[in-house]
Amino acid sequence: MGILAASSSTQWVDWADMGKILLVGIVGAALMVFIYSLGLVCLSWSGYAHTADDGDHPRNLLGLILGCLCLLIVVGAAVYGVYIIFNKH
Amino acid sequence: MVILVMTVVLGLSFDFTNGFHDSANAMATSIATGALKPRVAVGISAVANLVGAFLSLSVAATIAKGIVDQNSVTVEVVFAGLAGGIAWNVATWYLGIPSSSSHALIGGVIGATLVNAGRHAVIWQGVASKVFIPAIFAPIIAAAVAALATWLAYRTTTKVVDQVKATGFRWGQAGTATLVSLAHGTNDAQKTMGVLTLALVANHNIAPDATTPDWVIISCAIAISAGTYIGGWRIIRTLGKGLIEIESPQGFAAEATSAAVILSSSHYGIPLSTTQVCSGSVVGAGLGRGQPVRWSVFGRMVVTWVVTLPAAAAVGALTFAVIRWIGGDAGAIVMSIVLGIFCGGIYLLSRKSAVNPDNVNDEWDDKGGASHEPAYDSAA
Repeated sequence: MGILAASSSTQWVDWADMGKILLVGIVGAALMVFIYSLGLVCLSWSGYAHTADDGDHPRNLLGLILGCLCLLIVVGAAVYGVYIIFNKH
Repeated sequence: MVILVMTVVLGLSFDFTNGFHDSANAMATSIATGALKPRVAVGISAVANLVGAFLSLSVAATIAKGIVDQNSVTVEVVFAGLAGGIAWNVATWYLGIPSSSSHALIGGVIGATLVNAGRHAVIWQGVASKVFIPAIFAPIIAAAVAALATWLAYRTTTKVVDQVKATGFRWGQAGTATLVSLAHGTNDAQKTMGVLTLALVANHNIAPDATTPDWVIISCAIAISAGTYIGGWRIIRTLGKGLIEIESPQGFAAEATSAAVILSSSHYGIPLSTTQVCSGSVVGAGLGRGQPVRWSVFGRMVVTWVVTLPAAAAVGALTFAVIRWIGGDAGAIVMSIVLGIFCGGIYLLSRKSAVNPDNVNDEWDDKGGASHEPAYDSAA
């Protein structure tokens, strides 16, 4: 009863903030996953990540650099996440 | 004084149950995909929870703030609220269902407050906006984001060799799972610190505007970390194996989603349950791959989430009523013994179908997934 009474007279939730969470969540997670996946693509292309079982792959330094750069960006995003935790109050 | 000491003990016990109950949130998918060995996973999670508990020490926002009238909160109310939270955590752990420890604690406090001061002492709008609405949206948002992230992960890496893909995503999983653990430690350890501070204020041990004592911070951090290290294997199994047959790209997408949604909700001050976010992420990871989801298992989770608050409230109300009927210290002792017997009984029951690091990744069966040979080691 109390909840029903409250519902008729007050705003339950800040929809704008809920929308922001959805947006930031989508952008944050999708970007993190996309860039990390791109990093794996580059590393795979570089040939450095392959084992002997995968066959003969030519080594490509550019792929290695791009791959590591992508992974570094994701690590940077994770560090920013820790910064958010640290400053959340 | 006796009831205050028992409340502190109960608070730390709640923190401990919170730790092992929620270790699944961060580590279930990493364990299921083999990204981390079970013991290593809970070890990393325990350390991250410990660090997280110290990372942000502003514990001003107590669990009951905006939910119940602060003037109606007494030590007995806090005691009864914690009893409700512990009972619900232990019961849902036995059933292997991930449910929100925060909602259980809030439920316990609401139940006790209702008996203590009547329904006008409960701020229903706060209950709706801090518990019910986030509970509806948390899994939906997480599932939607995780589905997109999973689709992206597979789409982007179609030409990557399987071995590189699996290893790469497993490393990613370990990192994102640690981030989720860190966020969990900050949120949940501080929740108990807030409750214990509330009890100390209510008992006039510290001033209302005093900072949380160091011993509360340290003991809460250790309790949640120890609980996490014990590992709630039953829930880890449900979340890792029960919902979908998860692969490492899905696990990475699910963990990245959980981290992003939890951190953004934390940033905007919307209290989304870590448990519900992580469960939604796993379901979304299945949907994003076009994989069948075991909706019966997810349905049980949803039912549990709906029942959490009223069930914990009932235990909290009953506990408070008994304490009031018997009288302060004696009542607290009696209810502590009853709670101890309940938890001990549940633990003994759980030994009949123990889930431990050795069988946590066994094939899922629809009877609940714990039909393996009983193991009698340090299973939890």
